[in-house]
Amino acid sequence: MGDRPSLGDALAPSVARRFGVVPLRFDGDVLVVAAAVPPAADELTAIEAVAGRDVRLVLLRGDEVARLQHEMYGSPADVRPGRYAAGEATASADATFQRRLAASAGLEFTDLPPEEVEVEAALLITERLSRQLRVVATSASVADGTVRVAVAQPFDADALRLVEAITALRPVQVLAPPARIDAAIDEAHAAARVARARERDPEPRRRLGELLVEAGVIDEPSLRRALALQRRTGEPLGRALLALGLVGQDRLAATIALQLRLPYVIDVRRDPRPEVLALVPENVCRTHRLLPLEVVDGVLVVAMADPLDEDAGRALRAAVKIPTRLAVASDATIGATLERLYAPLYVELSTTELLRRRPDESAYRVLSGRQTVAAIATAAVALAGLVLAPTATLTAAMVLSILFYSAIAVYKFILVYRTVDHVPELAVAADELALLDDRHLPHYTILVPLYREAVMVRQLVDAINALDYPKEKLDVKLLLEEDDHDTIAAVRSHRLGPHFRITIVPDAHPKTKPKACNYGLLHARGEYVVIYDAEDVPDPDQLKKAVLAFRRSPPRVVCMQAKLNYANRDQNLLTRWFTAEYSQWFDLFLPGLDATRAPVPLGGTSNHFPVAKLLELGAWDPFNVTEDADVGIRLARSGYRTAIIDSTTYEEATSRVYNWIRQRSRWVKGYVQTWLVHMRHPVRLWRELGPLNFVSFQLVVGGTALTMLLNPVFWGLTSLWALTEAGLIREIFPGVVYFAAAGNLLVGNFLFTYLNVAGALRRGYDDLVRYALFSPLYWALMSVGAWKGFLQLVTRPSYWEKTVHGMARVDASTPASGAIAPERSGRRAEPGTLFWSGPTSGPSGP
Amino acid sequence: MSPIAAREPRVRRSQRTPPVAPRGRARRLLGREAVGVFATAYAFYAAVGLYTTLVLHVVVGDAESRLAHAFFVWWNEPAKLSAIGFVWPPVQTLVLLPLALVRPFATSLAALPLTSAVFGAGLLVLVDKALAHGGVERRLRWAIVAAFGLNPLIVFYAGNGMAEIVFLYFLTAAFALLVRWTRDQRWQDPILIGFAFGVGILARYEVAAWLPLAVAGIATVLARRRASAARIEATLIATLTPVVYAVLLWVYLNWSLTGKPIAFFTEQVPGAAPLRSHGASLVLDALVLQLKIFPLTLAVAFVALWIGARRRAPLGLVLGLALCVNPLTTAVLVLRARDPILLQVRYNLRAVPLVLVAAAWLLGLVAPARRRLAALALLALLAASIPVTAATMLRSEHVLSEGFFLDGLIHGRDQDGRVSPLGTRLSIRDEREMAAFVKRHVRGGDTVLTDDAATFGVMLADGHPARYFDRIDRGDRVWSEALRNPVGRAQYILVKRGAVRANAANAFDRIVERYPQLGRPNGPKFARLAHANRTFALYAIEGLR
Repeated sequence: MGDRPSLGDALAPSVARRFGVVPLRFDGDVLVVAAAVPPAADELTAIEAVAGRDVRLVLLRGDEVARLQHEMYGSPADVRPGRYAAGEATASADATFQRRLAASAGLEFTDLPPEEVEVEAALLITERLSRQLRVVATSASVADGTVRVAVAQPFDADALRLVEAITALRPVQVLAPPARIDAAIDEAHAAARVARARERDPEPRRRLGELLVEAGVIDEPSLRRALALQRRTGEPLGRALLALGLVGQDRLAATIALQLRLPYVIDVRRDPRPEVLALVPENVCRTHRLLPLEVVDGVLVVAMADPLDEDAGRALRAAVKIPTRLAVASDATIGATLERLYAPLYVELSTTELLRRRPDESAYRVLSGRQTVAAIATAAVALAGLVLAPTATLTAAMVLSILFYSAIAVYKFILVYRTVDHVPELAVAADELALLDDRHLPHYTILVPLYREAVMVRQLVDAINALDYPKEKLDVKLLLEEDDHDTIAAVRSHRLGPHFRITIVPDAHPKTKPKACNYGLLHARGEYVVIYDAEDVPDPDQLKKAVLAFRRSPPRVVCMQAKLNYANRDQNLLTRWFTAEYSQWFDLFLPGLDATRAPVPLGGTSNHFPVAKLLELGAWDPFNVTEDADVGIRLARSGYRTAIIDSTTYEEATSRVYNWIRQRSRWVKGYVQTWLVHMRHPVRLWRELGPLNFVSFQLVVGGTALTMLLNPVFWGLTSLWALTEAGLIREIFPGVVYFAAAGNLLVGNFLFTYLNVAGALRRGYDDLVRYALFSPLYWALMSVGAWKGFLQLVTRPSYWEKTVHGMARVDASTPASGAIAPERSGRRAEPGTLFWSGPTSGPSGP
Repeated sequence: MSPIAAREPRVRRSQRTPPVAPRGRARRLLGREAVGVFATAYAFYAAVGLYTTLVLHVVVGDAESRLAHAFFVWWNEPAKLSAIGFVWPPVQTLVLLPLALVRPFATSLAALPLTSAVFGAGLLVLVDKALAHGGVERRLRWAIVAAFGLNPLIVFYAGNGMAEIVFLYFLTAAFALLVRWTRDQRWQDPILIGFAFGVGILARYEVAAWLPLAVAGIATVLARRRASAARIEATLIATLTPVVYAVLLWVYLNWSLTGKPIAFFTEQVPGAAPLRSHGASLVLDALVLQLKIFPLTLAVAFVALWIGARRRAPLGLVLGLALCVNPLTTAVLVLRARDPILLQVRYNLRAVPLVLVAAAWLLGLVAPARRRLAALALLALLAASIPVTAATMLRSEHVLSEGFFLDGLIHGRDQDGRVSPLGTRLSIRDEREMAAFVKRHVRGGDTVLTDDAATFGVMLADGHPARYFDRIDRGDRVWSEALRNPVGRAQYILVKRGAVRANAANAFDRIVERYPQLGRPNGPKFARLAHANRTFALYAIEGLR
């Protein structure tokens, strides 16, 4: 932007008078103009093009506008010739002059016979502008992106920019006699007026589609397509048009403004003043997509994406005590402005909301005061016991451990038996899905936290687009970290549909997935919300299944957990074991928990919530690295339930050992965090969950982590005994203790191994069954990860061990991984690419 | 449509009842029905069992031995899991562990019927479900279940605490699951079949004879359905893994605790008696015995084989062969052991409940219009087999206590002291009398040196195994050392008199083997007879080391 001109030069007087506007001031680089009657959208575009800068419109009374025009430009007789008043200067030129002019300017000349002017093209420029500029569009080619315009005098660059702004096509000018241009304008617009008159709607307000067709933005077949979609989904026409990609958000907002005769706010480059913002509460703005812009003469001008939204109108009237006047801005403009204005508040809300509302349920602190005392006391007693009666103390520890192991084994066996004997998942048949009426489907928010995952963007977009759900009812939020420039660039380089929204999460501690999800949740517009990771490929019908499952379930069910599994199971031995473990966890164990109505530690993705319920629960704990497991327990404590739906999301199994250990260390750390958080008040937990679920929590959350930590101890003792038959071991395993330990070793280990076999079999992964038999080797890795996570809990409790993804080699022939595009086969991420992700399941081995 | 259904031309499509797993309400009703059947059957078997055990004193020595060793697991000092023994299959003892924990249940022997009734009732539930899946209407189904459940052999074994009913339950469960899997292809059924065989084999080793049939059935059915090689492999791995692990675990335990990994297999039968019969006649004997025990067996086997061959239905062949395996197994075992004692009725029960599973499957193939008639015929045949079985129990030379059971029930007579055609004597009173003497006169732990394999009845009746210095306490090596020089190691020696012959080597008293002249003038001088009855003798050890 060049130097700022004086206000009088900012807008040619003729233009200002023709459009009924007057420049008021500069607001940064934005020219604020006042109007009594809001100009049409394309006229506003023209004004901006003429002014060479963004224009913000404020409304003033008509006499005030006239007075200001007079003060600035003098009386109409004093009007200085504007840059675009060329028409008058050439009105008397004859064809010969025009030919010579064309030749000297290197332009084509035409006599402009009537058949050369296509009415549709001519209507791209409004009649008023056409006459003012003495220009008529004769033809347009969307394919070339050009519009051929007949002008009376060669246009300079500004004028061409004006035409381009109006038509959204690159102008190619030809010279024509002015009289012929006038005639062509008359003819084209007269024909259009007649056509409009014939089709005039009895309602005074013109229809949106009609306006768009008239402006040449869409054609009739496109409109019919959008109307058909509207009928099918029950969504407003605007959303249908957006969903079909027929119109952009800005164009839509401008046309709505035109339709409703409201000002259109192209952009908000300068923030509204704080006192103006304070007039409307932030939550009203966020919930109803409102943006207070300015107070003019005691009237608050508020921009809205949908001025016909009655709920928003009511909320606005209830919240604001002064008169308001509406303007229209695109949803994206409002959203981006709100996020810019309220970023610090949103960060605070997404970070500290749970801590503020339920401090005892936040993992902000690892141990509470009482827990610290209890831990020290336990350690002291154990130490004293080891000094005074080492054998008895060790025996007591063994007994406790064995009892715990046995309880876990028995409980897990019971849960799996429930799954084997019943089908506890909420199954939705294909014909039920087919009967779903799209009009009755709720809006759905999909949160996709991304961090350094540029390589996954294409797959992610494809997977979301493959969902069988009306796109106009989707609100997909790509949550990008502010410092992650690569992913931001990658996302912006993709052609995202209108259902995608990019949300930049400001850089702030803790930099965790739950914080990003909370940030996104604040802006969720759906009735339901689900989280997917970047590499997730959900079953296409998952959202519909979740909706149906919610409808069928009692109100207490506030979470639907889809099953997770891996698409790259055949990549190597690690992915095979990992997949077998996942199959066991999600296909046998969690359904068993569901069947017994026990608290379900949720998997990291594909958990579906009603937004209101999730907000009521305080959303995710940003300090907990298994926030999903935590929220599963929290909802159970609040008397709610989780159900498992028979739908799968395919992910990428970590295929490298160190990466796998990092991921597992985070999961175990998170499970310990979750256990500690909820055990701050054991009695309260007992009361809230009930005795059975309290025990289940101990065995599932506490037991999962503890078994992984204890396994190496017992393997070590067993090896020592086998090699040396050391007397100490004989002493600490007397009689019954020895039998119980042997039972655990021989029967428990077999059962846990076999559960992986069963999981693979149930999932239909026949090729994994033989590998599942060797799961005990995999448990050793689990314990390494567990100890890493446990130690990290002391040093860096909220540190998020990111998992490197994008290394999957997916064989296109692999069954059940067909959801992954075959062209991904063999593709690898750039070295060092880090990924969040991964469900926080804690499958355990004895 | 399955290949089997595709080859059923004689039944009109409209008449055929598709083999569909019960769903929703039907499933819940079937669940409630199972509870009802189980509760009724359990109450009946437990009541009959308690009466015959506690009042009529019909107690099979093997059952008492398993209970005694289950009791020793908890009450020995120190408690020892190895007390379950390593010759006979361990599940027989393991199932008795829960009730053996309660001393009065064990010492009174009430634990025996109370435990076996669980498996007897479970067996009837399996039969009931198999018939339900075969499309037999409810009342008729119940009648058939009752006719089967009232068969005197089933009543006897469901109430006597023997291992027979345990392995019958698991074997029947395996084949009932196989039928269900063939029909419904439920992913979990091969797993459950595997576990049923795994536990079944550890309840009675011969159950392994049916495993190849089941595995072949699974593989054939999958191959007929054009399943992938990976699917066949996975299914077989899932089926066989529990079996292989169970056997390996047992081998390992034997190896680690006795040093003889497969002694349970090689030493189970000693070949004590010469065998004069040859293979063919043995098979014939076994077939005849089969007919006498449960005449329906061979008839149903024939029909299943015929249907299987005619319709190329693998399941028909598998079930038919499963019914024929029993006499073959008996013949092989007798030949291997060279001991005709294995022709006992108890060893030939194996296929009896399988008959009902096969019959239920066959009924499912019959058109609904004729199914009722067929089911009525089955009911009549089952009812008719009751007297046949009863007659065999009373008159056969191959019975142990079966005849005492019926005799006791019919006449209400106490059977204690009676000797079976095979030479075993019921000796509950002797055990209790000796136990009472020991309790009155012997104090302290490890005071009575005894071979628990022979005197378990006394130890159990006493209720304080810590009093006895037996082979369980510190193992055979230490016990044998004590046996070589008992003076100073114990105060008494308890032996079983007469070396009553049983079917296993360790049923003989090793003290009597070591000191055959014990108590006689020319016997060891350190022993003085303290007390004796018809079955047991207690000697006081005298002298200095």
